[in-house]
Amino acid sequence: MQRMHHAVEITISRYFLMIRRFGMWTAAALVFMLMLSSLALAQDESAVYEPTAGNFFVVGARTLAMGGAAIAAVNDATALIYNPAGLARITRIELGGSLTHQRTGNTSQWQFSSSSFSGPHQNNTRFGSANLALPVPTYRGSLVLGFGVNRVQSFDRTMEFSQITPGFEGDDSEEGMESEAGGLYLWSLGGAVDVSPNVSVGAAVNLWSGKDDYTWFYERTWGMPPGYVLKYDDHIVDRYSGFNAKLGVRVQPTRSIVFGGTIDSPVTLTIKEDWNYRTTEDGDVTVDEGSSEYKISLPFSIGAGVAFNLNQFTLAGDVNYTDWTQMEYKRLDDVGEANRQVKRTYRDALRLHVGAEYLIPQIGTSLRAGFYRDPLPFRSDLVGKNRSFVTAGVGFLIDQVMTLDVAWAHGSWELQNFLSQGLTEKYTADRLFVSVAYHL
Amino acid sequence: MKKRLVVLGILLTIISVSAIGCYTVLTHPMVQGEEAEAIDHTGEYYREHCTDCHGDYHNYPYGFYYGYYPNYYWSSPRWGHYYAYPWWWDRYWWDTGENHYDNETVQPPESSEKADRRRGMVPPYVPPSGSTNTPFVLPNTGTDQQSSQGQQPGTVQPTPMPKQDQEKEQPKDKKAERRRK
Repeated sequence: MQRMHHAVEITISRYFLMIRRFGMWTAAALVFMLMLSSLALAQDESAVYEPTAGNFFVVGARTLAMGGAAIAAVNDATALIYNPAGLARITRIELGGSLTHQRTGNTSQWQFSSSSFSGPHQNNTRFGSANLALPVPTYRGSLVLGFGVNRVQSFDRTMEFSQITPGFEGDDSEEGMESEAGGLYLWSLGGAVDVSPNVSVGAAVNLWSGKDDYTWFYERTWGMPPGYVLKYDDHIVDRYSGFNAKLGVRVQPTRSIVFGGTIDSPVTLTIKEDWNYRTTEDGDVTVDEGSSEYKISLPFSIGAGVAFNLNQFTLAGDVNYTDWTQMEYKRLDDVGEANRQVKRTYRDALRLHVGAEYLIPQIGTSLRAGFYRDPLPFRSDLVGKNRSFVTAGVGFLIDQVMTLDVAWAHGSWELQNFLSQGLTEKYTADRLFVSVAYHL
Repeated sequence: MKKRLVVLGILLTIISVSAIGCYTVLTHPMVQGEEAEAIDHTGEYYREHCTDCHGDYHNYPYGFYYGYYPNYYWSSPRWGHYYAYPWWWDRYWWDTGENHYDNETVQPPESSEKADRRRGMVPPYVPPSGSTNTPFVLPNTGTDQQSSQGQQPGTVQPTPMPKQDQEKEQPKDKKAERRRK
């Protein structure tokens, strides 16, 4: 029971706890600028951060270059992720894989400070995907099976801040760094079949698996009494597992238009957690550690896409809707409070993806560009700027059996009053994907 | 969780089976009364020229699929080969388009189920006039050549008939006899 209680406090309200531990000191610095009552109100409206919510990481270089628009336009084995019905258009045995590289940057700024602080960049090179598509020989129509593992969520990021607050008898200084690494992989098994000349349906069963490695370092030094130091060094490791399914349909009523639709079933993730809290206060060290297990249910997600094929030119667009207020924690002692925080923090989100591809057949080259808006799923007062990316890329067809795709994306977003009242967190991300596919 | 997976599995199976029954066909359907003339030397049922029944078949160079292909597949067939040419129509390593079966060192393997199936699935283009062989798309062509019919991507060449097949007498059609009973 005690462990379960810790799980609620530390993981479900991970940020809530940080605000309480970290914000109580910040309050002293802000007391001259804010009314105590408004500060107390802000503390009550702290946010819950659940990394698996609204954190989609695009799969495949071609799709990234096209702004993530793939529900109707996908033409390779990554259809397992975007729209399983798209598998039906694969006629050759396909082996594909990708690598991803992400460089994230961060800048923090306090509400009444004129200067900002830029933390170090975090670089992460990860295995992105490996997929196999196996078309079954058919006399008419299409039947294709697929299997793959794809990294669909990335937790990689760093946020650092530092400030010096003038005190009555010497300056106070504080600095902190929040660092997170890991991601979620989907192990997918799926298939697609033509049910009419122009309609394909598909389905995939997904096994979710992944890890989130979170560290929080905070140090505050007071001018008075001189040398008094408070330091937190916390480490939380979450391991995720769960199942869900995805259904898709692909319709091509005319030569130049393709429609697609998908439904992701809810997924209940089991989270096994280990934590270690180390607090140093005026030379005294205390350690609190333990492990626990709980669950979180992520809601339905619905997607729709359209692609216009004008011979060598393809224009594609997707929308994807998820109501994150339906996210729900389970098997917790304080489940009511945790889910109340979820409903107060989260909202529904509509992802928009637009992309284009121009193909130069004579030289086996495709040029691509796109844009996508992936709104942060938090209530509006916590979001300074919504997450959006511009993308570009190029693809090559090599000797009619192999494709090589390279894509780049640049995005930025901004959180405010999230980690602590008065703190603005600005993030940038540059993503570089390389994908290779081989047709047997 | 297990209950959900079972329900999901049953649902997917039902969808898959019913979907296959709707449109997708894995093998050529039997045509009543034509079994005898459409049995090959292994006893398998096939039609050498699907165009016998499907007059517009040559409009679908990548199979019996009513979908749409971009125009550049015709001028740059390697795109068509990558994205649309079914793997089960591929030629074998010994079948390079040259009649090298006279060479004793290179012999096609004996008939197998896979080989027969693939042969049966050769793209059924309309044979050039005067030819009795089934043309096919040369998959390894990377050039922008037009076919002899002026509209198929890739190069159309007559299928080389293995010498031993030409000389060998057709085996007795036991399978067909069984069917007739």
